[in-house]
Amino acid sequence: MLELKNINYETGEFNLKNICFKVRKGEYFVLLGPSGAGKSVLLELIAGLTFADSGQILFKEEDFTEAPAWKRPFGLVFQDLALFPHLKVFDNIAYALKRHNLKKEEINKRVDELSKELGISDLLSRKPDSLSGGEQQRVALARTLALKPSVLLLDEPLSAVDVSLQHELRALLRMINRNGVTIIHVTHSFEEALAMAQQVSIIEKGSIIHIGTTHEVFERPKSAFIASLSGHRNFFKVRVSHEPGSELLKAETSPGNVIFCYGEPTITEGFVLINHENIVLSIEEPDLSTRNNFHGTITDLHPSLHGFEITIDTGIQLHVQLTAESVQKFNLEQGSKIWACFKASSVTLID
Amino acid sequence: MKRTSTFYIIASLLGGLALLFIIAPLLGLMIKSTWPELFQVSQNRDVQESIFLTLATSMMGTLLLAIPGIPLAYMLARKQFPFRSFIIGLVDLPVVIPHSAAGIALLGFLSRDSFFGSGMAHLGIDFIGKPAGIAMAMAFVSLPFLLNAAREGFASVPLRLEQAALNLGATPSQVFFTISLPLAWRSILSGLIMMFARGMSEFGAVVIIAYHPMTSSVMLWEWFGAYGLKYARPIAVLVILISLIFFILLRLLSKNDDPVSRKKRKKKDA
Repeated sequence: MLELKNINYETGEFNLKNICFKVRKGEYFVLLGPSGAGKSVLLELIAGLTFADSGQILFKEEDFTEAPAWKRPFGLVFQDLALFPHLKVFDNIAYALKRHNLKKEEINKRVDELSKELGISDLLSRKPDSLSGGEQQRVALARTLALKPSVLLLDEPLSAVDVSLQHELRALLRMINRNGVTIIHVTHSFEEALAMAQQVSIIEKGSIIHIGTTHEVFERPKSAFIASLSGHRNFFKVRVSHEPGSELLKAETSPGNVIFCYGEPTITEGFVLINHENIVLSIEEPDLSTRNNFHGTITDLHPSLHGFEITIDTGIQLHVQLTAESVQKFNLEQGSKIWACFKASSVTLID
Repeated sequence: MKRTSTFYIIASLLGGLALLFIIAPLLGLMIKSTWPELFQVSQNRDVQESIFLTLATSMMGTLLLAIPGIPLAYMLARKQFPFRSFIIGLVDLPVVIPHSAAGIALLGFLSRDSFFGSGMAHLGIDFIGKPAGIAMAMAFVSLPFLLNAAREGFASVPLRLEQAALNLGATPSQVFFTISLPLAWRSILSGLIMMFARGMSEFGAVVIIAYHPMTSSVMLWEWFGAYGLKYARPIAVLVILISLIFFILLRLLSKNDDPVSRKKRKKKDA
């Protein structure tokens, strides 16, 4: 339905490089990436508020790359909402309808429908600055939905509201999507992507690095950003070589820092992921069958939800969760020497 | 603990001197004029006609130049184009050049010998020695006040709002009339009043384009030359009073734009 083909866009701050993706009709598509990744600019490109240096934006096979913003069937809800401060809520919602010369009765009917659907009927005569964050968000949604856009573009729609309202708004967005509206939702929040996406696309430093279902993307992350989002802190880019005479692979994070693992022998470069639960710690040199045994120094130790999180520098920065009792028992502190061990079979190699 | 810094005391004293410099001559003028004198002058037909001419020509010049001036201010506030910075500087030129020189320049442009002047003469519009010429002279020297105020007004409208309107299907002209103009109206109106008030007080450029019919500034000059200070003073007071009305109007309009008073109001509300 909506397809972006090889979009390139350069500004002084960052570049969008070779962006390609397709969004199907009725899909809830989430673009997930850290701040400054180029997510919002991508939405502005789709909406026609800025233009790509090269590439194509196709919608139902029609080329919209050079079409002016007011002729595109894509409704954008801005992160800062951009409600018109001089217009009442009614006039904000009716704004698009009035521009299309609809009859007064039709405008009233559509505003009435939308305001009921979004639960803002009692706000119609108020000005935007007298509304709460959640109310403003609903008005912005209603205003954009008034013209029944083919694709709804949402720029961090839940970032400005508190946690309880986020839950409510998620339900609302799901309802809008169920009613047939295709949604492209931009966010930096892993939870939001997990809660909403049918398809998720990861954007980092101006490039799309992974597209798939949430399961595909988060189970086998392809960047440190995604790995850290999904709770994997021990995630390293590696060069892979074979251990002669063995099925083992040597994954080198930096010269001399090797992690042993198993995997496809054809892989030469990729990422390794070590679940912190598989790392065993010891003060004395352990006598274990584990293939990966590192001796290092605790460089950071801070309380976390389930006890303490410690960072061990072994040449590789390993992150491990420990209970408060273990920290006390081993008398661990910053600067303590410690062994960290894990099996080669517990390491996931991702190409 | 001492709450007031010595710096603020010195700054207040120096500031008081500057204020006195503005107020003292005006106050002196008011005190030396008596009500009967003022009444008598205000009944003088020549004075009445000249004040009316001044108000009418300044209004005409302001409204006429607002039509191309406001779009220019919008473009300068919103668009990047070649020589934009140069044009922004150029706009201020009439303020800095001697106004009599501006009058000479305008004379060359508006006289029947010029391309523009002769073209307009064919349409039945003469400038030299006519109210139309006075309006042009006033507008020439006061247009920067409108352009700058309107440009700042448009620049203060968040670009996001205009983008939102475009996304909602509004064409650029609809965005201008439904979003930019309503949100910048206060600045534009204060610019219009400034332009009008500044145009009214213009002497140098006006006297070169049209000594007759006489605007109030030219009349003041003539009365001073012909009859002396005693006779010129009441008309000066009258002109100042009229200007004062527009000055107060302007202050009332721009009251909300002063960040210090806004802060104070906010505190009061809280």
